[in-house]
Parts: sequence; structure tokens; C-alpha cells
Amino acid sequence: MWMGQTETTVLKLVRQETLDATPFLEELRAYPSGHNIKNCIQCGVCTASCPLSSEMTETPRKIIEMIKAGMRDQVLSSDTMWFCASCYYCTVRCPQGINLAEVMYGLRTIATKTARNLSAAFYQTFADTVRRYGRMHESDLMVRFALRTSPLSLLKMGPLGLRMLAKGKMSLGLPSAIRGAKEIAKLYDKVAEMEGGV
Amino acid sequence: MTSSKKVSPVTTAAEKPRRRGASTAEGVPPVVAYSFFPGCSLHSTAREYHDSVVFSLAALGVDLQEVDDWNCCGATALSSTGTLLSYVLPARVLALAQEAGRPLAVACNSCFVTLNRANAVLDGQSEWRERVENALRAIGRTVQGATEIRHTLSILREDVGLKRLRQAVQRPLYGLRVAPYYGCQFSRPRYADANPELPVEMDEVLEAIGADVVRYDRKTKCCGGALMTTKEDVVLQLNEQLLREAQAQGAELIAVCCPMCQMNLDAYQGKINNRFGTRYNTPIVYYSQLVGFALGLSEESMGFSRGFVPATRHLRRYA
Repeated sequence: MWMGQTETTVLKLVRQETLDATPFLEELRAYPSGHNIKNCIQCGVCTASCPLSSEMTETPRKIIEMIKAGMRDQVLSSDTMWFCASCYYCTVRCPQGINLAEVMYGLRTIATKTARNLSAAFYQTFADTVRRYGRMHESDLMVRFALRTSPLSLLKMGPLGLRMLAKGKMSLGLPSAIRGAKEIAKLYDKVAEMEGGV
Repeated sequence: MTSSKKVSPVTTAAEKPRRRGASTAEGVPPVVAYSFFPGCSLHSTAREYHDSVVFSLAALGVDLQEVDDWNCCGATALSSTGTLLSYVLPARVLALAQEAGRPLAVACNSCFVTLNRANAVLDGQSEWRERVENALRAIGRTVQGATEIRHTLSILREDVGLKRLRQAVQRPLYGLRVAPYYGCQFSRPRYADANPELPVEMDEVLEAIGADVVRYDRKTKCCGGALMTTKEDVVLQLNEQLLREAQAQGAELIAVCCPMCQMNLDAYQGKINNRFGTRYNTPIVYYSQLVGFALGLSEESMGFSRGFVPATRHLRRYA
């Protein structure tokens, strides 16, 4: 009995130590809510609350355990974070206070650096559009996104685009930049510099 | 009730003064004043939200002054590509709002969360705060701690108040069966003073203008937001479920408080019908359009014609 208890405690400590030392968990500490991922108790409330968990190859609960296990490549190549709609159900319900929606942003940010998929291309095109004009312009964004991914999809978007034009919800005019567009570009550069890029 | 009484701002300010450090001399009616961040959608796909919010709040004594030369908050795209930048872009907007010296009003749910997310960082003492401030210095701007940020729905519900709203109604929408749909980012993750899973603010506002608010259990379920672009198949399903419950509850139209929700439910409704063999014909309108219409503002100025599914037939009986 006594021996058994000690063994359990020791094993727990060893396990905890290992988890804390996982390089991937360490890497995620640099992102919002990365510090408390290890508090996950695998209750599954996140998966049960997620409107899109049924579409994911790995559910949110599982992805957390994979992070804790240091399965960096498998996590980053999963489609889980690209299905997150930022609805924050998991975040407000997590009994351990993990902001899982933020963790998903962190995973996307890391994955975007290497990922070649539709979602990563969309967010990157969006970010480029904002850098260019200081604001988002739907028509400009959609055209650039299509050219970046599959130019043929422009044809598919045509009918809705035309109806949007008719309703005045989109314009064909050249997008104009805000007066402070230079400030925006400077912020992009400054942040890249601070993050050690450029 | 005269129309001049309707727009008297005195009552509002007496109930809840919001203007910071305003010296209101005796006899000069103070105005509830905000800086206003419309965001990109309200300048393009959701112009009717812009106009209806600005006009109806003005009629209720709330002055919205657009933030000069505002930039995109970055929405979910920036938080998916770079953490620091996703705080820095909204922080520029907060700096501009602080320069203007008024609290900040936001109408779009997505902008509301994005700005609050950066605001929370600026309110704390983390290294993120230092880094954000450091980046802003590169363009000669500063931001001092937290900015007060309010959703326009909360301004309507709390600053104007239900009593004043009820009194200002000229065209009560009696018998109009409306499903209130909040989407996710009004009440989650708890930036507004609302129940994250069961908010009631829009229900109360719609009731105050006479509408028959139907029970709508999916009021805070997700519409998929921007995933409509990248994960269309499943997002169409989410929206079909939203439309199905509204119809089952006998709603004539759905009221929303977010341009993303409006776009997904309205512009894609035809596609949903094609895909699922359904025949939904449910107009998706902003709460502010209904409020303005009830206040006596014209159907035209509230932009009802801009919806893909026309709302006109439901409003004709009140004209």
C-alpha cells in the first residue's frame, strides 16, 4: 500500500516533469494561453462544445493531449486549427481556464510559416491586403485569394459576386488606401523586425 | 408624444452619463458621446448596418464620431498569422480613440472581440504590452492602458435604456415574429456584460420596439464566420440548422448583430436551399434596422432593400 502510493506519486512527478519539458509545449508558451495547456484534465468539454469537432481529423481534446505528448509534426499537419471558427464555446466552458481558441490561433501562426493549404493562403492574403491598404477590401481579397489558390474558382464566385455588386455590397472600383497606410506598413515591418525576421 | 421629445438627450445623460470629464454647464444638454469604429464590413457589405446604427442611435441621443483614418482590426486573419501584429493593429485604433478622448463604440462582433483582445493586453502588465507599446512608438503613437469599448447593442440596451427606447417608438412592430440571433462574439469570450451562452440584450431591445420575440435556442450557436470562404460545405450546414430552427419557431425574420452572420445567413440562403432542398425565405436584418424603422425612420434609409432575401413584405403592414 505504502509502496504503491509512493510509486504513483513518483510516476506522476516524472510524468509531469516530462510534460513540462516537452519542447513543443515550451514553444507554445510564447503564444497566448500556451502556459496553461498542461492543466488540461481531458474532460472533453471542448470537443463536446465545438460546432466543428465532427469535421476535424483530431478533436480539440485530442489535439491538446498530442501537444502535451510533444507530437509537434502531427499537430501542425492536422486540420483541427483550420476548422476553428473562433466561436469561443470551448474557451468559456473549459473548467481549467484554457483559452483553446487562442491556442488554435497559436497553432495556425506556427503552421502558417510552412503550411500550404487553402486556409493558410486565405489568412495570409487577408494580412497582405491589410498591409497594402490599411483596410480589408472584399473584392480585392477574393480576387487575390483566387489567383493565389485556384484562378478557376473565380468563375465559381462569379454569380454571388455579381449579386453582391447589384446590392451595392461590393464595388469594382480600385480600393483606396487609408491616409495612414504608411503607418500600417511600418507596423508590419517593425513587428517583423522585433520577431527577428526581415 | 412629440417627435422633439423623442430625441431629447437630457433624459439619457441623466440616467447614465458616459462622457468622460465633460463639464456640462447648467442647461446645456449633455450628449452620450462615443468614438465609433465601423470596421471594414460596415463600409462595404454591411453598409445598412452602418447607416441604421448611426441614424437610430443619433435619434436616441447617442453621438457616434467615426475614428479618423481607422485601420482594419485584422479580424481572425492576423491572429492566425502573427500574434504580435494581431495586437498591434487594433492597438493603433485604440490609440486613435484615446486621442479623440471618447470611449469606443463598435458594431461588428468580430471587431468587438479583436479590439477587446488587444485592449486586455494593454490593460495588463505582460511582456506583450511592452512589445505592443514598443511597436506603436515606431509610428509615433502611444496608448495608455485600457480603453472603454462598448458594443452598440449594449449602448442601446444600457445607455439609452429600454424605457427611453420604448417611449421613442413611433411604429411599434406588434406581431412581427423575430428570432434574435447573436452569433458568437457578442457574448463570448465575455467582453460584453452579457451571459456567454444565453444573452438577452437583443431580445429586450426587440421587445421594447414591440416585436414578438420568438424563443430561439440557437441564438448563440456558430454560423461559421469567415470559414465560409475556406470550409464552405460544413458552414452551409451550420447555417441551415440556424434557419431551420428559426422557421420551426415561426420566425418571420432573423435579427442579427454581426456582419458575418448576416452575410452567411442571407447571401448564402439560396445556396443552402439548393444544397439541402429547402425553401427558406427568411430575411436577415440587423437589430438596428428594426429599431430605426420602429423609431419612424424610413425603410429606405434603414437599407432594407440591401438584403438578398427581401424584408419588405413583412414591414408593409407597419408602414
